[in-house]
Amino acid sequence: MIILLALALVWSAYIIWRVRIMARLYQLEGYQFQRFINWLKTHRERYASDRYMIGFVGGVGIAQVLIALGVDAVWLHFLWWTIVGFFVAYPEPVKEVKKKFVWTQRATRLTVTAFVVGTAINLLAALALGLQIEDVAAWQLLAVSVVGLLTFAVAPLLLPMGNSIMYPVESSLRRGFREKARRKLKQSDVKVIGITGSYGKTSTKVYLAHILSGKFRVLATPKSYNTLMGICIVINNDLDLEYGYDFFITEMGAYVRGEIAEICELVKPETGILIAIGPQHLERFGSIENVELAKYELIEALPQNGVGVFNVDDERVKRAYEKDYPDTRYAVTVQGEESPRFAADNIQHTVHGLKFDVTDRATNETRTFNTRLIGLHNVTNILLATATARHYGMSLNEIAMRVATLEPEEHRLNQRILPGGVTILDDAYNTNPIGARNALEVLGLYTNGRRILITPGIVELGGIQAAENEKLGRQAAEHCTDIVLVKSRETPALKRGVESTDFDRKHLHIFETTQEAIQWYQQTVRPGDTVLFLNDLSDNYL
Amino acid sequence: MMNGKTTVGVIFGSRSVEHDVSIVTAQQVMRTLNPSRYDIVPIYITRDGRWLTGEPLHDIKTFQGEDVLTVKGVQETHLSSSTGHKGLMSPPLVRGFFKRQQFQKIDVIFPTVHGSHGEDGTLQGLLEMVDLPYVGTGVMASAIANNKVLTKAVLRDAGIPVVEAVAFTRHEWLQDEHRERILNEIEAMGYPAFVKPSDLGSSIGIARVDDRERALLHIDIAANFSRQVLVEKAVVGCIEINCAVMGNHEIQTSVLEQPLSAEAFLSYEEKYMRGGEGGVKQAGMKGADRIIPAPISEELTATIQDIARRGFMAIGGQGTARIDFLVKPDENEVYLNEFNTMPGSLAFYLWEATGMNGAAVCDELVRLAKERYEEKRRTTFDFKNPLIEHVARRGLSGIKK
Repeated sequence: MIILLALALVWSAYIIWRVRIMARLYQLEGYQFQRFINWLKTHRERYASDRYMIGFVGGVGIAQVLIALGVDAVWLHFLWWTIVGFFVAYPEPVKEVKKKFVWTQRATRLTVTAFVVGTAINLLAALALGLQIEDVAAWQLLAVSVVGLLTFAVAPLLLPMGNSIMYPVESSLRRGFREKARRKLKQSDVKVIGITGSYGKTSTKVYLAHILSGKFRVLATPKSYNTLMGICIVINNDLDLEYGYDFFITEMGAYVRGEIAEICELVKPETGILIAIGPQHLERFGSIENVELAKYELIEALPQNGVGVFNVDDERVKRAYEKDYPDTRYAVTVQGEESPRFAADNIQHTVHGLKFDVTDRATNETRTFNTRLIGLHNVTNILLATATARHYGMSLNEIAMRVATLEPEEHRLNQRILPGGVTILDDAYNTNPIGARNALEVLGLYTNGRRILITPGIVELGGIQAAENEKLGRQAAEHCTDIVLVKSRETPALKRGVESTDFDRKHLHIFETTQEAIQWYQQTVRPGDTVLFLNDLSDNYL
Repeated sequence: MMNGKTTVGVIFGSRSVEHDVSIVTAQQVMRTLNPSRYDIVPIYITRDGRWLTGEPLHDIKTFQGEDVLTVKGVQETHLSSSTGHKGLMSPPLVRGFFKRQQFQKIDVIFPTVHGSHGEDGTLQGLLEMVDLPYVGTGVMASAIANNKVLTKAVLRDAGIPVVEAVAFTRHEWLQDEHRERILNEIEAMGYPAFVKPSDLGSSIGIARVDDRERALLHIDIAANFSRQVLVEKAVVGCIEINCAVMGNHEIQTSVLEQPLSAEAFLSYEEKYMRGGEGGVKQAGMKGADRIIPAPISEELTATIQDIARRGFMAIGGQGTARIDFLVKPDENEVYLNEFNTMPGSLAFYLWEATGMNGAAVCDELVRLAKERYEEKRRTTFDFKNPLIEHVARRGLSGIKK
């Protein structure tokens, strides 16, 4: 009896260990069943490697043979499952750890529930088997191991199960939390500014907050907090009513339709900024039309007398602008369009930063803006922020003054020069084609030494992923002297792109692992060179 | 003054862009103060203006983390503004039966704050209200020295040579018609020039500009850091010379130094970050390259020391300061450029070269603080008159103001 329970506990330990590993991925997929299942379907090697299967199933078989040969069953089962099992299950080195598992309260609740369910199945099975007979027979040990093995196999599914079990608790907690945020927003007199778009949300938010802070008290959501619950956390924890904030700026992200509408229903934005509509997260949206509709939810949620700010250089955003809602709409352009109210021209791009003239066509004022930021997309981001700040009564002069002190965001095309004289363009968080093209164009400005691109490619673009990576390869060939590809699913497409040009193949380096790329980097890069890390963290290299 | 020791409250940090530099200076001062003569009470003002005290503040490592208040042994405190207390009150943040307000008596305050809310007269004003002796310049001298526009006006009036400059407010800069005028005035004065926020002690926001376009950019930047900006004509071919002064009435001067830098001025990074990994010692001014004594003639040295003395008196300075000069040695041209009433590392290195070690400098500064305090007590603030008696008898309506 005790022996059966002990064996069941050994299995439970494996199951808990496995649940813990899968919990990170479940969290990464937003605790959504369908997305998690899709991930499991497409990444079988990551959770059910052949090693596990052969090790465990084979293990049961060999154990039976040995028992038949007269080896003591009890000892065999324990030895096998504690020692051999440990080596089989020993985690493989995980290649990409961009986001760590965060033990939020919710994550803790559902992970613990999964632990409990997994352990309970095993213990109950052991109990049920042990109740019948006094002596422990080999077949009972086998049965416990088989139950353990099966639970181990389906352990990833324990997480969604835990989630379902906790659903009533979660939803009532969430509702309470959301209503608290709603009440708090109502009590304050902040004006809410919402920002959405397929990219540039965080940058635009940071720039707008910096500009408005020159005259007002501004609270912006930190980092990339852009989900309903994330925004509620900021409101509940940081919106200090005593301080008298004038503005609350939040970016709004979406993976499916309705998410932005839901956020808007809570925060009731007065102003909405629409940056661009592109193929980001297409995998999850299904079609670009869905992305367009999802992003437009922000504009629909504005009151009739609200304010919409549109980057009309993006044709889908332009369509949104032309829907004539709400009453006050500002259009911005960096491409010399005639009609928009705000335009940037004479854009000069140097390694010191950007310089451009901003014109407010309603007042016919023009002011030169200077910033240390680089990348043409930043002109659009700044211009959108400018239009908004202008609406709230800041002059172009005041805005220019704030723009002069804007600091680049970490990992968002951030330029720094290492003490050794190597220039690093850190664009680790870039995952979209237009941003990638911008980054490459910036890289192209550095003509002192070699221009090196290090990237695993761009992901989450659905059906056009391969085509976009191929295009990226061609663009890279145009701007780089050396291209370093860290092996991923996108490598073949990137390689095709590069090889479709007359780029010297001696300068195309493909590495199986990050380790090899790092080695290459450390042996090859010299002072004067410029290295662009695109969708790859530079920390490992430097 | 228990056990014959003087309790010195070292105030540092504060709401200033030079917050971090101040932490370094404070660590240097706390290590230099002679432990057989002083009990040290660290008083740290956070970036957002909360006052903290506690033993861990003696250790620079305490400041590496995000939130100092969460460090064990650190508690929030305040300097009582009532002259009856003269010390720190640390109320318990959580109520409890055994929690009592703690009181720490202070004899002398040693401010080591650089820049705003500390070096600019504001902290000094608070200390005057509290009626505690404090090290360094008083309210007025601190305020004047911290404003480059005002410094020039006072010095010019005292007949001390200063560099020509165009000064204006942020408000003016933000209006198109004034902006054009300002840029024209700068052009008339001539490039190259230095753009400076008027009331920052550090090099933040300072830039050399060679044309109108760069001026526009750097004034835009500088205007973020101060409500007054000045654009100073560059003295082409000059070297920088620094001199430290100390005293209340008889002002003594240090030997002179010539700070060296590739650029015409030290950028913020250069000034404080150079020397790489080194600890407290290298992180401060000591890391920068300099020549001591400055390689200039004895007469010129004497002239500069004399101007330093006169300049310090002109702004009403008592205590100490490091004074920065722009000098053209061959032409014998000397301009007093600025005062640092709370110089980085308190210019220990200059006094050391003058024959006074750090501990002796601290002793002298504390003595000067007490001396000034005694002198202030000779000033009459209380003058009894029969007003209240008069009003009490006649009623308020009979009073004309």
